Amino acid sequence: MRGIVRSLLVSLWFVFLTFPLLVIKVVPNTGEVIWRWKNAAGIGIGIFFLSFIWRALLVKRGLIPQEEAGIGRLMQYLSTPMNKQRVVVACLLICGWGPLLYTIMGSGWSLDRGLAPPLQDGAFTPLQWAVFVARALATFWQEILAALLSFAAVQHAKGNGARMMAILRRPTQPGPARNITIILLFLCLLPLPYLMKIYQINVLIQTFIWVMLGLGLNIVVGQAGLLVLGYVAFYAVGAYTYALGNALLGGAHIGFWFFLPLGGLFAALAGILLSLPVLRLRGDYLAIVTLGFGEIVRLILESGSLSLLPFVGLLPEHVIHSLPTWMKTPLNFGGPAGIGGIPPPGFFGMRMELDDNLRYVYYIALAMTVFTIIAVSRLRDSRLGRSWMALREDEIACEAMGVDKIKAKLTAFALGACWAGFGGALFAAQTSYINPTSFTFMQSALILSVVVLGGLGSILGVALGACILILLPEYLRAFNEYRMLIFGISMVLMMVFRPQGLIMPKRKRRVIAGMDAVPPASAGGFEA
Amino acid sequence: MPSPGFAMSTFFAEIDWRYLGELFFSGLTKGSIYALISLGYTMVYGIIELINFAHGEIYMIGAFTGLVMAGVLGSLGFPAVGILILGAVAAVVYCSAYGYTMEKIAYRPLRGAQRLSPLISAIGVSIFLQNYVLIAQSGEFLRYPNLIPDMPFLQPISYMLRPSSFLIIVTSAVVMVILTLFIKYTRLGKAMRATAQNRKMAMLLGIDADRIISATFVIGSALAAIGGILIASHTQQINFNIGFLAGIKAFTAAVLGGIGSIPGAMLGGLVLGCCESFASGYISCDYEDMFAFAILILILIFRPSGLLGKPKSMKV
Repeated sequence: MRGIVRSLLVSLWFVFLTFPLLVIKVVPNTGEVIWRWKNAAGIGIGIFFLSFIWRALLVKRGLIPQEEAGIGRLMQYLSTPMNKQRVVVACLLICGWGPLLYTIMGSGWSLDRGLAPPLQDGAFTPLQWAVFVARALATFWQEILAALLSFAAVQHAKGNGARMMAILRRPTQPGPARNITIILLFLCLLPLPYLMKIYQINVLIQTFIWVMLGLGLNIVVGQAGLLVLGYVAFYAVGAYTYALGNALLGGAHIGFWFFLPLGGLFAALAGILLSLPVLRLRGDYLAIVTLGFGEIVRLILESGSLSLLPFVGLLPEHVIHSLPTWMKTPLNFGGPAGIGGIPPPGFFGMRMELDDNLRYVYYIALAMTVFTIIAVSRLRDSRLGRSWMALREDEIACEAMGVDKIKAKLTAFALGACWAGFGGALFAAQTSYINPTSFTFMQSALILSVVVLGGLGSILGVALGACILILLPEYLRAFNEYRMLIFGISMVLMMVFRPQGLIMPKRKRRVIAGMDAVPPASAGGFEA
Repeated sequence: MPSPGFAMSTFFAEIDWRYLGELFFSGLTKGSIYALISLGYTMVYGIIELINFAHGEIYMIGAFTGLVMAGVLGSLGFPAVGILILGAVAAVVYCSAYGYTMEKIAYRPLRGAQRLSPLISAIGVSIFLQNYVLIAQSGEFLRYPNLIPDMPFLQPISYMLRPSSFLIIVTSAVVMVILTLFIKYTRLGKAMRATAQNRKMAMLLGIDADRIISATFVIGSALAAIGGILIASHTQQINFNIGFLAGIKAFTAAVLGGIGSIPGAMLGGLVLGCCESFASGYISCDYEDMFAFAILILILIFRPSGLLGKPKSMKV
């Protein structure tokens, strides 16, 4: 009873809160006022039920005591596995299978999605069938995901949860199970560009780039503990290196393979350039300086050009004459319109169709991602990586142990930025057109979310986080205008209910016999 | 191109005082708004060390609430001044409610979590609120009615001080004085300062820290709401993403003045506004935003604790 009263009050509060914006709407030109009472009713009813779930979850996390939540009856109902199973399955049926039923009934079944087999050829060869089935599976992956989720939920409710989690956890532990999983996953990724549509391939390439970005930022934030909020600037440096280099040296037939390492190098240089003045700043001050740096880079790109003329102009006349022309011509960034006509990567001068080129970019992105994962995990276990972690845990203690703080910070910035540069060059090659809107602060915030969502410092977690953050909005496209709304909510929920991220980084700990009393170190702690 | 034999006296003689005054007052106007918003940042940061990225959205919601109220009251035939005052009251009430709810849902459960979690949560709230307004209202730039009455006594300097600028400067000055007195002399204000200084000790002395934190969010949001409604009646158009840049700039102002320091936030806001205005007037308006960030970086490098902040020593 108490719980019902509480939920009623909460729902009334939200009706009040959303009243002016959600219920009233003033038509801009005529000044006519529209009252949308339906919305108030929807919010009231929705919040009434959601507040029960919210409190139940808070109780489960141990954030509020059960008596205070007023949901004793509900918890009692859920305490038997049978009832729990009923509720979970009902929820999943509504959430997961709803869209599928909608798709089937809404005539969107096969014709809309381009899945109808080409019947004019007559009979199907087995290969055609295989491609057809695989393509169908790829298209309906969200429904498959829903099915897997409901299966998992049923198992969880049946009490097999612990056993299932053990099976799921096995691939993340070092050992043969993990190696087999990785190889299988890699093999699954190989044929995808031949099974999917152009749009989906683009999304996948984007995901790979984001995995690289996330892993790069993870070096700086997760491993070295330096909070950077302007990471997208390095990404922009990589992308513009390729775009500008191509525009300036276009005639020389220097392609992607030259600019890819160059983009990484320039980004690393930018990282060093940024880190030099901020070496002694810590925590939030570092964060805000990097934020400012990111904004400055974006504003330079938006303002269109950067020239040495104001400085050159201060020199005496005869010196100006003797200067080379490049010092006197402004460097053109294309302004808000951006730079187009960036060539796709070449393959020994082979001419490729548009589709094939995209597939080629896909394989490059895949290879780069694999390379990044290997390199980053090797770095983590190296002497340098360990010094980063020492720096993160305690700067003063780390210095006292003889770690060169300056070197550790510089390398963290340079190596972290380097991956963003690679990612940027790849991005420019994929889209063949770049403009400053791809390099806003929001992007920096999203990359940081990838790292934190996945679990600070954990490589697998960051990769998973990138997949979720890129694929979730795509998956939510069915909800169209609501997708960013849901994305924002899920970020908050994720932090409230699993603040340590999806996967907690495991640190190697050596236990000395007889020291059992030492409390375990908190994993992935971030203190600035 | 300035010649090398550049004399200081000619420089002063060449100053266009009218133009300078215009730039100064436009800087002061902008700076007052930044100061109002940055107070919310600095107060929240002082107490729970959280960069509340969603604070800019509260300012935007304040402007939208004002717009909706103006529409409703206008159709009922209220006079302009009444609309302005009632709209401001509604904006303050609703923004305080939003601030309170936001803290309760997105930040309170994260108390004691690792440091980055509330920051990510704040980014999530920011994305959510932007899209909420986008869906609930509109994605277009909306025209805000002109509600500010003519002020005849401003006639002689009307070229550099519009009535709306005058209102902004006066209102923010009054609000800031009230806030300072409130923080200094009231019971709640003293409790806030105590909590900011040492939360654990304050709790031991019987201060309910959760209540104080809620109060901080409510006060900060109310100030942002005043800023929102003032800027909306100044620029006369609003959009669902005006909060983002204003939020970042205000945060910059808070850091500039020394984050955690209330007079610092006011000073930082005014300095930032004036710097921006002069830079865009004398150098190039393309570089207006860039200049703000460049100043920020320079100050942080040479005086990391900000203009009025106290330097913190490192402790083992």
